[in-house]
Amino acid sequence: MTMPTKVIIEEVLGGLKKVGGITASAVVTRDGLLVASDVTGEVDAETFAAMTATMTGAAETAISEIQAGSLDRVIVEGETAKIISVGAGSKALLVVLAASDAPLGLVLLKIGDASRKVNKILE
Amino acid sequence: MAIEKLKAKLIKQMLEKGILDLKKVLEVDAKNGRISIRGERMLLTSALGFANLHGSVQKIAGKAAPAIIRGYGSSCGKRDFIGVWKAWLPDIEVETVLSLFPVIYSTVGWGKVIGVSLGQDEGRIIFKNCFEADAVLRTCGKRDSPQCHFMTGYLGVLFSQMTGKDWQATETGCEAKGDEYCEFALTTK
Repeated sequence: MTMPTKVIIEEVLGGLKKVGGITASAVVTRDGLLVASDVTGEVDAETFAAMTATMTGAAETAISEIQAGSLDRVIVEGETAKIISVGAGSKALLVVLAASDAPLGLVLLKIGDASRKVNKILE
Repeated sequence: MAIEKLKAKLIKQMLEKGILDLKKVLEVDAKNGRISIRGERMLLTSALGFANLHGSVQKIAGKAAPAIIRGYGSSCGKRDFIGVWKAWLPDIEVETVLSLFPVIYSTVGWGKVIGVSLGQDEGRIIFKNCFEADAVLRTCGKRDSPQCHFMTGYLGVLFSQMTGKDWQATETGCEAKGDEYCEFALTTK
């Protein structure tokens, strides 16, 4: 990972934070390594990267097991926040942390745009 | 510090000459179903079990399997740093670690360490006959990507603990994908 690539991805992630309700985001490889993140507070970005990749990988194998096509996204809803994970090309994932009351439609739209940008950057 | 260096030199010589015979330090208590070394319970099992671990984790976590195996390696690296390295040589210096590293890991059967180097921001460790690559290769055949995920987690944490710097290990060559050696690049995060 060259430094400019990481900086460009961080800019994309920075843009996501302007969307109401999104509090943090990260790009991770599908095997759980952190590429870039916009995470503040007490969240350990690297542990979060490994956990979300594992969560998404397990969801993918579950969808494949029931022969339900390919995985679009994983949404985990907690009491005060939700985690949304989507593919950003064949090698990476975009993971977003949003407030529980964040407008899901808008958030998903912006995540879709950002994941396509990240995919292009990593190609 | 001079005592530490002398101690390290003695350990190295002892291991190189094969004076530390694992059969002699292994305490077998067949009556109670226990084997141990210096009071620490050990488990003798086939190294091929690592290939089973890879397969089982992959079945559940898919492409994210390396994250879980790396995590296991990291926790073992941290435990070994405290339980082995720090226990033997409390004031150990990086230079001493580098000189002892090959003989220690060869003695415990992890593979033959061909080379180990560590600079300010990068390092390199080369293993021949690494147990993890060997297990995957023998069980699953030749793979198209590096397979020593336990080793990458282990080495990254071990060197981070030893130096106080945050290192990440990446496997750049792997015997399980047909390379001559398993080669690990260390970079600062």
